Amino acid sequence: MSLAASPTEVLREAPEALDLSGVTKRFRGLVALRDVSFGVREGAIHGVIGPNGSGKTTLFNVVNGLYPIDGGTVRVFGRDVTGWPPWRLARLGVSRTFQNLRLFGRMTVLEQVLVALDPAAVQNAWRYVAAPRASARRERRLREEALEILRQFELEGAADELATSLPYGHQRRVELARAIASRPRLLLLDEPAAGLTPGEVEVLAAQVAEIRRKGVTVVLIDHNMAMVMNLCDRVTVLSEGRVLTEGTPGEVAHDPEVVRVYLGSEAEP
Amino acid sequence: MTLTTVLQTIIGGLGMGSVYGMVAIGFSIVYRAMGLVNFGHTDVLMIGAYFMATLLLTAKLPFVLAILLSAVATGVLGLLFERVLRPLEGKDLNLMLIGTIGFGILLEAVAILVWGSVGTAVPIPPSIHPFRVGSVVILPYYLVIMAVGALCVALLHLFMTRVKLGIAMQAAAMDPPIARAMGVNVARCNALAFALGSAIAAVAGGLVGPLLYVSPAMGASVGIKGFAAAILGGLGSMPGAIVGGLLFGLIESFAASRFSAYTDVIAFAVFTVVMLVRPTGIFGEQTVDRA
Repeated sequence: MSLAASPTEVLREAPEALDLSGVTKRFRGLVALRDVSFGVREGAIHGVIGPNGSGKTTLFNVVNGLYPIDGGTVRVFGRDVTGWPPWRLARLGVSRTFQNLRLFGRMTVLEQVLVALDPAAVQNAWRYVAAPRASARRERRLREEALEILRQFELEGAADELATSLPYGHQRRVELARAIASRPRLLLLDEPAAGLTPGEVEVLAAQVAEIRRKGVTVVLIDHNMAMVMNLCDRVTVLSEGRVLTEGTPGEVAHDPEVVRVYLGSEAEP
Repeated sequence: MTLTTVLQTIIGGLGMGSVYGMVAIGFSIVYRAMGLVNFGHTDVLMIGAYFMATLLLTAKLPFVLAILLSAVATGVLGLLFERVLRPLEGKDLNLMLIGTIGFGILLEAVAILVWGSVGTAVPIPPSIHPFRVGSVVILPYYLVIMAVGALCVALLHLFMTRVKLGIAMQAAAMDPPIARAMGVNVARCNALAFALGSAIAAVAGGLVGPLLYVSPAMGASVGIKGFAAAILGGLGSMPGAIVGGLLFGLIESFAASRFSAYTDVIAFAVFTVVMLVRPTGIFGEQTVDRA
């Protein structure tokens, strides 16, 4: 299964969708990210791997604006977005999923998608009063768009069900649908394969490849090495908050340092 | 008690109950959005009643227009209220609580400066005459209050469930960080919650004005019953606010019909007993804890 069909040579020429330089994050005494720098070319699927606690999710939270940054700069599509609030980043085209499934508790599947849909055009509340008919038309259009996205992820049958009442694999899909609904240009996926069956992982991999084919740059954190190695053009390895190494999946897999941090320190002399 | 008085008591209770319900919705919508009890809300109601009274008596506007304009003006006041509190958001809930009390005191002081400490009587629109159904004399003004209250609730419900912005507001209330990550401007949603609650409070204040006296102290009397209604139904729950309001109105109305001097004592005694039996209120399933 060769899903990473896009030629790496072309990607090398592409402008950078995400450019991190010297990103540092501290939690009181603990340094969670130390001087992390790497870039992701537009149109790439870029993997971020590393042992638990190496700072992968923290990195997403900093890029996404959920955590304030303590040092360094984050550039998205060439713009310096260091310190931007998450909702502004969302409107610039940055979207994400969460490691531990964060769906809205008492909301239907359709509503979850509606929340994220069209964030650049959240209307001024006045317009609902000033132009009720245009607003109603817009609401109908948004609903149709939401249903269309659900169809893409084969969730249209569950549109009016409470998202949290669905089976786990479906909830993961709702989260991905919600992340796609904001029409992102840069999508951060935090362990999307966690807890999925091998069959579901295959469907997920195909969906991620399809998302990239539509021009979305994807950054992927996952522990499922087979999926990461198959999908990603390049992989960055984090260890204890630093970049250990970066390269193509093949290069990274054979790096002795990477083997060491993954297998523990017995390999050390 | 004859059937006639029972019917009149029920209608009066549901009428006042609609007012309490509308006030309770304002408490609940802000509580849901920010985990904050807005103690200034009672005085927002009072300001809304004064706006309405001024537009009606001084500017001689028609009743409906006066209420609508007052709701808009008070909604803007709600936006201002949230803007004043915003620097404290997510930092210190206790300071925000004190801030809401302070804002309420400020509103009361402004009302005394502008309109004086003596209240104003507002007439019931003359087009609304009492009428008889059999032997029952019905004061239709109570029915008007109920209808307007129901209309407010229906519009709010439509907005919160059918409109993208309303759904975004719900998302912002359920899980603020995730809503932000999805592109929702949570601070704006909070401001909108304040504005909607304040506008509905102004409608409630405008409607109740003719039944009571519009005075700087009316926030403390009507508003506190709206707060009790919100607690009774389950703070943060919209159906709870409505049921709590109607229930409190009925309790008060029946208490008044039997022991008029002790109305408030009895109403709040019943309230206390209900709270002892069910501390989360009728529809309150959990206590939201967000600091």
